[in-house]
Amino acid sequence: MSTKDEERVYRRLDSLQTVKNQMAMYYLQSKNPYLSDEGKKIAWVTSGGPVEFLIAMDIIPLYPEQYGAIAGSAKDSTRLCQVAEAHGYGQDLCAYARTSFGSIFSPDPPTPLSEIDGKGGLAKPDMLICGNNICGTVLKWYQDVSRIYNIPMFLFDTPPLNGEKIPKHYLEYTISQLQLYIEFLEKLMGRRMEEETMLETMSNSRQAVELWTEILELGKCKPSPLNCADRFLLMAPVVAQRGLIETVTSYEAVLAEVQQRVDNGKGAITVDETYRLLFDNIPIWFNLYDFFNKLAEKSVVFPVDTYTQAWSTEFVETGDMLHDAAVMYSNIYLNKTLQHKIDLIKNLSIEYNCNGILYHSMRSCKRYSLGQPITRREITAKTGIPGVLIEGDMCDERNFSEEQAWTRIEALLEIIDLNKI
Amino acid sequence: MNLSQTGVSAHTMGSTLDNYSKTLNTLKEKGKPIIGYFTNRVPVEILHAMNLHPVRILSFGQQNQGASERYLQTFACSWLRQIMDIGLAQGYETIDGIIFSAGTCDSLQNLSDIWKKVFPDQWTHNLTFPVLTSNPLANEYLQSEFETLIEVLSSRFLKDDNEIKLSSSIKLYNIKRANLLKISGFVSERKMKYNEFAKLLLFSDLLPVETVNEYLEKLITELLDFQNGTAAISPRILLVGGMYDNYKLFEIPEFDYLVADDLAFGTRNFNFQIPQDSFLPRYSKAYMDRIPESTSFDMNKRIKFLEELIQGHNIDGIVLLGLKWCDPDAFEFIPIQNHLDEQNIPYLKLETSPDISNLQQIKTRMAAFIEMLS
Repeated sequence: MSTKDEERVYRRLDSLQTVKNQMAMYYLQSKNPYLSDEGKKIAWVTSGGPVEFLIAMDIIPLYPEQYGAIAGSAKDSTRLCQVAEAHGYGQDLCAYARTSFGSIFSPDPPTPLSEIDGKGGLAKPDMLICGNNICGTVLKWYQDVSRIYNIPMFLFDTPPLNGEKIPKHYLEYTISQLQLYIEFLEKLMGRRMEEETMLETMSNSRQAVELWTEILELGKCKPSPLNCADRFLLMAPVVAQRGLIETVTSYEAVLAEVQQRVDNGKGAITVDETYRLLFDNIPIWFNLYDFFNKLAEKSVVFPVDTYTQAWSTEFVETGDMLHDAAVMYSNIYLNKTLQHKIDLIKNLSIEYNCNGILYHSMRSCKRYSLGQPITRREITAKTGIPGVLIEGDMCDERNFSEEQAWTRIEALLEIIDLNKI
Repeated sequence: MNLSQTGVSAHTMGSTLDNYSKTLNTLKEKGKPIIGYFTNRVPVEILHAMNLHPVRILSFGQQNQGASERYLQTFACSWLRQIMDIGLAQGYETIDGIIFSAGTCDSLQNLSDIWKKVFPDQWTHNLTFPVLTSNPLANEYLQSEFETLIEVLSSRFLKDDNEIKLSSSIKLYNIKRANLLKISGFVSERKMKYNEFAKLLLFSDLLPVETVNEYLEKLITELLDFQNGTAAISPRILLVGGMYDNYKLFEIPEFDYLVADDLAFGTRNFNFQIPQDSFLPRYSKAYMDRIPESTSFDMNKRIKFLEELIQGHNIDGIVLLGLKWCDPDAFEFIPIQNHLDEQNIPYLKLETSPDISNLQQIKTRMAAFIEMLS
């Protein structure tokens, strides 16, 4: 480790480079689909969309939400949001959607990923796969992309769950859509989906998710081997490339390194963990490292968050693949009740030994954010663990006041200090 | 024609609406349990057949402004925040139960959970329509949702196992819808002002359907005899929007040019019929095939419906009225605007909240739009 690394308040994860290389290859291939094969098709898919079916059909899945994260990290998302606003998309709408529309309309590259082909933005899609298990906004968003590009869209409609059990008619309706989904893909691709390939993809997906879960669970150790920014960057393959063996390989390397940190008693930050906080919601991408490192300097670590936990879904294995997929995709975090979210945050806070919770109240994601004031009060009342809401946004810098956020965070740290007395 | 010339005056309607809480108390005295709902995706005929009284929950009335901030962030849909403000001021104790249309917009979806925390003693139920109505199983799914609704309502509100006679309730609501459609024709002919019609529509979703039908029939007779319409006045404006419901906005003179709407509580709530002899699954299919809500999958269907309104009412211009912080409005107006641009139909896009805090700005913009159309 270099002297410079020693001076840093956080420890670099070497295996992050493996993940970054995998993602770079992925975007390179998506921009040049002819390099790898004879003309692969491209699908834009929501983060709750059933990606395994695309991978099994040799279709390249691309995630406009992930592009929002990339553009945000590159500090270009606000400009792209403004481009979208000039085309009529109101500033109150989802910043991922506005970033995506901005990249479609932007007359002025370079936008993120333009280094690959000089055009910027994601590669143009041949089809759209929209799962409304993460929010209702994606439906309107993808409808409009479908209109702009004049390409087909498949809607995967998963009724929001009202409790922990999936009603029979919900399940049957959802399974029937997976059957239609296969027909949709087969028609577009002009070939059948091979069952063996699909099973192999599902197996890779399960392995990737299990490895991801193991990596996350190591956060329960003290000191925590990972901080928020690490997880937010490491999650890219489990979102976008779940189902590929490359993801399994990358995560095996990550798990080995994280486990080694645990074995050696090394934490993600180089200072004492005075404050172990849970982070709720999507991160502030345009301020990712600044935000978490500044907090690390104050001895704050985030051993757990709700966003990356969303991809540690439990796999159901009954031998009926469509049934199992329907159960898994219905049980997506944002498709469940507020009570489920409260219980989960409460349990995670306890399991990961957190002494505080930071709720990111994000104006451009209503589904994730509305309900947080109640969550905060209820969890504090039940566990004594204090929490504060900070107002911000995942991609639109205009919606984030750093000073205001810091005032609230400092108040939280003071409460935690008082609780220790 | 002024409504005061008929049995119920516009003032009485306004008062009934403005004193929403008092109106509910009066209804409650009639003995039927009151069931509140937010959107058109609630099968009112089923409620009626079960001897329950369905009422639309409105976003105006006495409110405790800002009280909802304890539970809802400021970026939640302005319409739902106001409804929460009203609930926190007046209480919704008179309402025996609320049916939420789940799976619609994100604000309403989350509100259904938040509501349970804020008003824990109130009975609520989530009814979720399928979004993908082209799916062959969508109607079976919706039928099951309706069956579940009947089951939970029975267990909560019915004292005995009487058979539910849906057909007579369908007949009553079909009459109501047909009468409102007829009256919308008089609005188009300028025999009745749109602001009075808006009041009538909201009023008709509060009172018992039997009372409403009696009144509507009387009104139609009088309107048929009324000879002094002002059909020649132009421009003729169509109001396009979603859940906006504060009729007071339409009382300003600039809105006198409205001849039709496609609002959720407006045309989209009465421009359809349900086969009278239908029970599930034909009944659920009829509900599924209605004019789409803003949150539905079929955008082309909504644009086709707008085209029919534009042609049918000989429209000169369109006002797009969006609610602050309403995602479906904000998203759907873009393809609608594109369509109107392609068709060279002038339009004005407005945004407001139920408290109409930007009334003066709206008046100015409306005046300029009317001048441009004239």
